Amino acid sequence: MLVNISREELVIGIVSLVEEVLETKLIADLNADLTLFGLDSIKTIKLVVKIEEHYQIEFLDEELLIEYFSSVNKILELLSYK
Amino acid sequence: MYLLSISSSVTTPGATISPCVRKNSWVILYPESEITLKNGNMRRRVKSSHIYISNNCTIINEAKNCVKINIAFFCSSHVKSYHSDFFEALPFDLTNSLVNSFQATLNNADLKSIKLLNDLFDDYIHMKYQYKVKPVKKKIDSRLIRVHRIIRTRYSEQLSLTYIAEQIQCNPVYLSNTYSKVFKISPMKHLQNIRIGNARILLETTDFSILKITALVGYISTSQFSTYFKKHVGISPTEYRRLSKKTRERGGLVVSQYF
Repeated sequence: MLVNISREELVIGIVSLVEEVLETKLIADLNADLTLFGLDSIKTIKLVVKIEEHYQIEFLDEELLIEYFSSVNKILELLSYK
Repeated sequence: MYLLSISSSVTTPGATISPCVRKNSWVILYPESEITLKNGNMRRRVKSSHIYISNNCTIINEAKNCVKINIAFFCSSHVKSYHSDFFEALPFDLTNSLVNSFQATLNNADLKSIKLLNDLFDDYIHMKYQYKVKPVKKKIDSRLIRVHRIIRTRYSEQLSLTYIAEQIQCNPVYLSNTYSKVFKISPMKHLQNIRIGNARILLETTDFSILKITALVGYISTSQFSTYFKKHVGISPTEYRRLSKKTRERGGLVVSQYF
């Protein structure tokens, strides 16, 4: 599903979804710990749903760990399997 | 940490003692002469120059004579699985407050010194585990995510709140409340929005009959569909199709939006 999307597009897409959920601008560091930007368990649920809706994918149960959504790079890594 | 007992005891030659009997047992000990301590597969001869802290160790007296051991038994509020096997030797110098407190309590176990020892031990373990224990891989509660998926992908089915709640083994009212709190929209309202959004796309991009579209977006009857559509969009489906066709003919773009 995601093969047609370039990495640049994906980065921009994920960053904007994350910013939308966290209601804040992110700094340029893709490894930044999103919990420092206010990512909590409820916002993680929102983020998961937004990513699933936007890219029309579904994460597997074992992928639904807070850890895997704790930085933009980690999310990108997760999406590289999709 | 809660101190259960503190004492000097004598181990006889050949004795094997496992002081950490429970899942939340901890010991602080120091022998007055050489003795063997076993922790997992690690077996070491230890000297009286250190105190030893462990939640899983066996004391073995391999000497030919009795060995005196000063030992404090603790009970932790966390079980061992939360910690993991722990064994550490602390140098026996006077700058270490935990060592000092251990000795002070051994000499005179009053409530004040016991409390201080408990607190210092707590701090010590806390400090050690901050660096040692990897954060527990916390799972994301997937129930609301699953509900969101059902609404997103199965809107063409006749979904009721009760049915959706059953899918995640949850009370319908509780589901509706938490869903609304997280997504700022109730599950049934969200379902209607998705249905109407898709109906608009179908009205604009296909020649499907109203009856067919009604079924495709999960409504039971055309009158039910029309009622919801009017409530959301302001005009009837037929009118909407006519208007969008007109706009297209004029070269304008009709952009379907979820709202």
